[in-house]
Amino acid sequence: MGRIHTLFKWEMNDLIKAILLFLGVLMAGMAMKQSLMHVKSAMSIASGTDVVLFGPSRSSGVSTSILELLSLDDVWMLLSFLLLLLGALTFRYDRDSGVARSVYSLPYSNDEIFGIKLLSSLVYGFLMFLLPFTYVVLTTYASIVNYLPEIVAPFIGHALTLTAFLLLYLIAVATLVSLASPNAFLAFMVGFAVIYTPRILGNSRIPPQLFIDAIPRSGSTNFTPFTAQYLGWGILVPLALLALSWVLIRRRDVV
Amino acid sequence: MRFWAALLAAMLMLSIGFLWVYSSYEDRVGSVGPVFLPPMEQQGNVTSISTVTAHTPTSSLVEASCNGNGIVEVYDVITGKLMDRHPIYDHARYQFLLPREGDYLIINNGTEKVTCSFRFIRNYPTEEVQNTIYVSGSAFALLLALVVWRWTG
Repeated sequence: MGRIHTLFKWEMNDLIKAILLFLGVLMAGMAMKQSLMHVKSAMSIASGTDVVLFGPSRSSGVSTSILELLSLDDVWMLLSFLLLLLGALTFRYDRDSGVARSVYSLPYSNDEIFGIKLLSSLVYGFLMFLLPFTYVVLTTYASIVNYLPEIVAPFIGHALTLTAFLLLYLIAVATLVSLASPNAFLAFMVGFAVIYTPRILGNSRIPPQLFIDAIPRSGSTNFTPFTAQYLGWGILVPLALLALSWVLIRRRDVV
Repeated sequence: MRFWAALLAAMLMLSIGFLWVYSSYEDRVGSVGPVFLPPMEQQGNVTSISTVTAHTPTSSLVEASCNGNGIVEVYDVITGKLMDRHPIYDHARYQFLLPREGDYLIINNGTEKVTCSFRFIRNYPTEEVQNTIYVSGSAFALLLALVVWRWTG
């Protein structure tokens, strides 16, 4: 266990990746905070025999604001950019700079190295999104923090599931393009093309737009992220991409 | 070590950034409306109320400007507590305070129509929000100091 732990510590404490984490958390958090800072209003007509106007579950402004935080275009563009860089740094840059020659000649199997590298990029990716999100929500709504669990209860499960799918997809793309390409810059550019093209084409049935559009819908009646479309793009495609990466790292020499 | 240092430094900078965001938001005027508030209608035992829900991210001083005849009431959505109640005859311009961030419900409890617009002229974070930022920021700073002090590379 000790030797795996050493490898994990190396992966987590790479200087450039640490700087990337710092910038990612900071910028994502500031973008989320700024997006909250405005007054907004909604008009509606309540009618019926027994009109319920009050209670934590009725505070639609707070719940839509929190949902908007999870689906900000700004934040997701920034994050896909940084996650692709992270993938290139983790899986490709060590080979470009020659460090990999020494690392891969140590008594670790390629499977172990792949697993540890993947684990570290998953930790980085999820932290870069979830940490600023939690901090922004808890500090912005500190006066009503006792009511927050009841306010977010109807949608947060589904919304976070979709977020996890999207992060998994981005990390899987970053991993595969980094392992397949002969150069870190090329990996980054190809990865960005893969992530960005569906957006230019206006195709919202392919991630990332698929998930960004779906997040605000969570919590509404008869919407669930556990349909073939979302599970396919959020679980099966990432797994397939990662399996392909695994084959690549086993078959290809470290060059 | 570098991982924890980067993480804690980012969170520390983020808490400082939040203070900056609040200070620049203080004087930014937000507005709601003009909104049309017809009176409550009662037909048999069916009530229908036109409501406006306003969301503010800070506690705010609001300046209301209303035309018409009616009683404009503002409630806290979560607790249902009455925040402000103001009768309008012809025209009125008045101010009231929303004590914390969150949602507020605006209705007309009179018998005639009112049109109102609300300007959020002063926006300050509540004491709880400030304390949360200060305490968490200090905690991040202390932990960061600890990491740097016991640096092992």
